[in-house]
Amino acid sequence: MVFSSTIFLFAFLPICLLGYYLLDRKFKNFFLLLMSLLFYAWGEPKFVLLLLISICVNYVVARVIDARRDSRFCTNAAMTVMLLWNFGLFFVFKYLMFTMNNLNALFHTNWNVPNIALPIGISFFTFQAVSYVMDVKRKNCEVQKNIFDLALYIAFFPQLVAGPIVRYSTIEKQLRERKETLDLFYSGTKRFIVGFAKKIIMANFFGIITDAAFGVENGELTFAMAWLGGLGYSLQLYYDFSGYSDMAIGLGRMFGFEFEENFNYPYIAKSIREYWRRWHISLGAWFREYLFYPVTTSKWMAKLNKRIKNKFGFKVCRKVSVAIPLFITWMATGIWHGATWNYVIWGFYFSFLIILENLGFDKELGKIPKIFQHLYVTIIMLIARIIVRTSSVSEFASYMKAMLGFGNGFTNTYTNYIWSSYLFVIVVGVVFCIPVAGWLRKKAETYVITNRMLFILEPVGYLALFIVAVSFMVNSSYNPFIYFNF
Amino acid sequence: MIYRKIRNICFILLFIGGILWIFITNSNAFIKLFNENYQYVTFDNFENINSSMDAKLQDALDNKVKRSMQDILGLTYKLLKVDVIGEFEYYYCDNRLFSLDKNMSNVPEYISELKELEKEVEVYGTKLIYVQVPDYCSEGLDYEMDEYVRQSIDTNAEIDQIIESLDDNLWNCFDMRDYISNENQDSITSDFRFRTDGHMTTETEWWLLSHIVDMLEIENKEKLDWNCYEIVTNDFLGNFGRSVGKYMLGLDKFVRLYPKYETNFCETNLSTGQRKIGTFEETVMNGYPKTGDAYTYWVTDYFSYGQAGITYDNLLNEEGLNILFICDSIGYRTASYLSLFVDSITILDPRFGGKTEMVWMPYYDYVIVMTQRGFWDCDFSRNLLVDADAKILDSYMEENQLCVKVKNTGNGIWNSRIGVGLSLWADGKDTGTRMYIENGIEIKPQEEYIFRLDISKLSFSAQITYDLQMLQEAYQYFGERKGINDIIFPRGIEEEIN
Repeated sequence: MVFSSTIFLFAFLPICLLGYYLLDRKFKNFFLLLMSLLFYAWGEPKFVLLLLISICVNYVVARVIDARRDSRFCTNAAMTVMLLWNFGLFFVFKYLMFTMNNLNALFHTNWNVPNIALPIGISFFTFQAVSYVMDVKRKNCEVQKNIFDLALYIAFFPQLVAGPIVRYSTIEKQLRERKETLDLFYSGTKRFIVGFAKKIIMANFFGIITDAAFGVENGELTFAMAWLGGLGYSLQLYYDFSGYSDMAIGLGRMFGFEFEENFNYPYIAKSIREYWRRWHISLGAWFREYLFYPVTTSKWMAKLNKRIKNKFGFKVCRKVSVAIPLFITWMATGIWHGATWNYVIWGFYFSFLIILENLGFDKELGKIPKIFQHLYVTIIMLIARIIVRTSSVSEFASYMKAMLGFGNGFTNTYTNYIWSSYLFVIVVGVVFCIPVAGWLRKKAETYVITNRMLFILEPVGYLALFIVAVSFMVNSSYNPFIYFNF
Repeated sequence: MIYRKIRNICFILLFIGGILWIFITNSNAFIKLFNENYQYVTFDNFENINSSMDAKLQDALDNKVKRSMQDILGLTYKLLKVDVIGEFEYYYCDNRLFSLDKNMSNVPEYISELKELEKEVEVYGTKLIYVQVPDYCSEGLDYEMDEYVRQSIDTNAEIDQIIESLDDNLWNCFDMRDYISNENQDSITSDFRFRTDGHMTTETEWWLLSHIVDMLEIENKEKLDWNCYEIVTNDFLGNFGRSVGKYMLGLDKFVRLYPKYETNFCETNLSTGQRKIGTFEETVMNGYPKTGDAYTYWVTDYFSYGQAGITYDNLLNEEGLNILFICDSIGYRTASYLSLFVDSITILDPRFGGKTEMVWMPYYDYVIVMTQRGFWDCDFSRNLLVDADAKILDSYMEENQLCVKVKNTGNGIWNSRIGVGLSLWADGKDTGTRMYIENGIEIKPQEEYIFRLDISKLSFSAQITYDLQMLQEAYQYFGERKGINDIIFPRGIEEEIN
């Protein structure tokens, strides 16, 4: 089930809200868990069992770790089981086919490649489960003794299938005691509406634009269409994924949960590092917490640093000690996004750029006018989008050629048609992916009269936006989210 | 603080109330849908049922809700200045919508259909009229259309190709494109089509009717005067307009004409054989129950929309012409109005039919083909009933083949397209075994043809004597049924003898 569907909005959500608020507190979590499992089973009934087993395994492992902290063997064994289970599952469902295909190609073998369907949300719920066990091991949180509460944390429907990746330590208290307030519900509803509109209106429009641009045959692509495609896909991804995150955060608030932010206007970033602090924040935080820091502080890294320091000196050692964990983290981030070579290249691409900025390029970047800093980020991100959107190296090369002006001329009638048909949408899309609304609101609040108008106009505006978004939903076909593929 | 609280409560109530209202008002439809779909649910089909559920729920939504949502959608499209409607389904310009579906792949096939018709009428001397409805992009309509859209949907080249293929000696061609230029005194350019629909306005249809009446050389033209009709006008939102609601384009006006004079028609459905007698309104204009609002699709209120073939006999004009009118919905109203001027009119819409709606060409004085974009994948030669007779001249065995020489003694042309073949009978029953004419071969009257049947493919287990008779598949047997002297050795028995 997706948030942007009739069944969710007009059946699942009202039933869920009514049930939740009518039930006694002690049944609320269990009710939410049941509804979450129904939500997941709606699209993937066969994988509900997998999800439940995963919950049980992680529950038991965490309990063992907590109970046998004194025994290093037990803790390590439990951690090994947890890692093998979670990442084994992750590997089998997400990477086995890719690995087998590549091995067959590399060794000219003919091993049978099983056709394995990817369970929706596996990348998200697996990472949440790992974060829970890791947090228990690190004593960042208490072990969860109630398996239903743990199950709710892992399977809670707002963030189950496309994040944000909620770390257990940030939500631990809310699972036990949370207070549903009017203000929280109000802000949650607003947030849900914004996300819903982002997805249903903007992301779907940019989806059409992107499909039009990337649907042009190799060699036929014009300069203007190539840039439109890059821009369209960047905005589609932003509105699609940030829209989903907004809806998840909003729904969480409706049930009294406060999730951390997942997006913070990434397209105003002035460096790639800053961009990644603003885009899919929860994923960045997960990798930083559970991969980058452990690698940086690992024994083998310390040994390596020592060797490099002895051989090349402190300066080189300092650089390498940052570069290697960064490389590992960004390659992992790339591969997390998908089992294709596009994402491997994507991982290399960002590893290189992030390491470069870490090694001092960002300081040089800071010296140039801000507009060029933004331009730098924009171009880098456009290229990254094209890497993952094109299906082959030749297609990528052909696309880049068109972007550099060596395609099928500057423009043609088709390009003009698409540009002119969607020009206003593009302008609106660009304007609302920068914090214009917040800025306008702040300005309005400084004047008494506009502030009072805002008091009434704000909810009216949100409701109007909701009605418009619903009108798009009921008149369109399937509205899948792009991040379901990850 | 209290105001903030009140505001927040109102907002939440409106939001929750809104979705609950839709949930409750549609609950009956939702429950019905769930009962229907989940009655036989299993673990295996659960996912499949669910995946189609959302579209079904959208369809099941209350009409009022759905239409309001379409109105809002259209308004938003207009505000965002988006010209592409849906996923490239319609194009908005000049405050009207155009279908972006070109559908021109079957032009050669369509031309061969027309050729089939030519051959048929050549035998009987029926006259042919070809009415070409202008393309959206025809010169003279002058819509301010995007150049790319114009190039993509322009079918004028295909139309030219079709018209050029028509035999001038047989066809009287009425190309309406020649009449939408202002240079022509008898021009029609304003409101040629509805803004919200692909069909022509009533005014255009009537204008076209007057030209067809001229072409048919009908002398009594008094009924062309609108004073002879009660005129009723309704708001109308056409098929295209329904995707964006009534605010984006506004509503069209649909004019209906009810004869003030006496009318009496007999309607015969060619598919079912059912008959109905009544006035023009009761027979020709009695398609389906109407709500009378802007969403009533008046276009299809003529000629019982969705039928493959219907004949209207004008019982008060038995001296008039008999017309065969081949068209899709673009011609329904013109044909329906034309029924007031002739003895009988058979409207054939090949989109809906099979082989059961057969028409016998000699009956008709005129055949009118009215066409526009989207009609070119229609197959109407299958509906032509062969005026057939045959004589079986000879039959003999040639290796494993039974050869039967047959002469076309009727007036129709035989070919495989219209399903002419030879049937094999045993014990007074059709065995279902057939010998068809080879593809591409035509047998004209008085010509002979040898049918061949590979008997080794027969699976009969006994030695039987057979009868043979010509047939037009699924419609008629014709000519004499004749027994054959040669004994066919079914497979197996023949081998035993050898």
